[in-house]
Amino acid sequence: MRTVSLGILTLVVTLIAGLWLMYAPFAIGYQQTGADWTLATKNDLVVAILVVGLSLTGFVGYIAMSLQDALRAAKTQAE
Amino acid sequence: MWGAVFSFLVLVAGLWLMLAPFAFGYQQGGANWADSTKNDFWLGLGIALVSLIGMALFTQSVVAELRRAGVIKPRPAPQPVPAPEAQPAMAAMPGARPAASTSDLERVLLPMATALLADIAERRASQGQGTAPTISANGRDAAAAPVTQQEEGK
Repeated sequence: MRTVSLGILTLVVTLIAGLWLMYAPFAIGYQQTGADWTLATKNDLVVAILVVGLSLTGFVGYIAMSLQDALRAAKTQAE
Repeated sequence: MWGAVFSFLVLVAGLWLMLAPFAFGYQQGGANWADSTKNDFWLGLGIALVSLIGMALFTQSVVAELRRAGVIKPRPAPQPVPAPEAQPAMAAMPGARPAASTSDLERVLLPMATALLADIAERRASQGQGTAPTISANGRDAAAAPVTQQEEGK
């Protein structure tokens, strides 16, 4: 059975950073609510979606694989 | 490996985020950085660094797992190299022989020479001519040279 790497924490951190990136244009104020979105806002949003998606997929996939390995190891031990 | 691949992709996204204000042109080079640029650059840098650490950790974990499974052999501990014995300077010279090896050679050849001389002396005695050869202290036959010349003369 493999141990869960500490690297999983970095995916959590990048996930939070991605969420912040979605909110930042409105929080910092370089995007007015109701106005047309600027290029900076569009770019931030696209990159934020990418970062959040990748971090989430990486996190969930890694945990799923670890659980799968743990199940397989438990089955082998039981047999 | 899964985690390392996704960390790498996030790293690329972080690097793009740092570059985007200049690539898209909403930040002019030389001008003061706008709030959006500051946010994008520093956040991109943070994301890139964190994902780089993540990549290293995931890779380390994979290597440790492969080592545990026996796929990768653990590196043997470095053995201390014994210091070479001091050699006399003469030994390094081509053609030079240490004194000890010369005396060893004499010790080996002395019984052979003695047996050979005894054989020659016996043969001479049976032929009834000449004197018995003698062996000097250094193992050389004092009468050997004339005898050899005599034999060569026959």
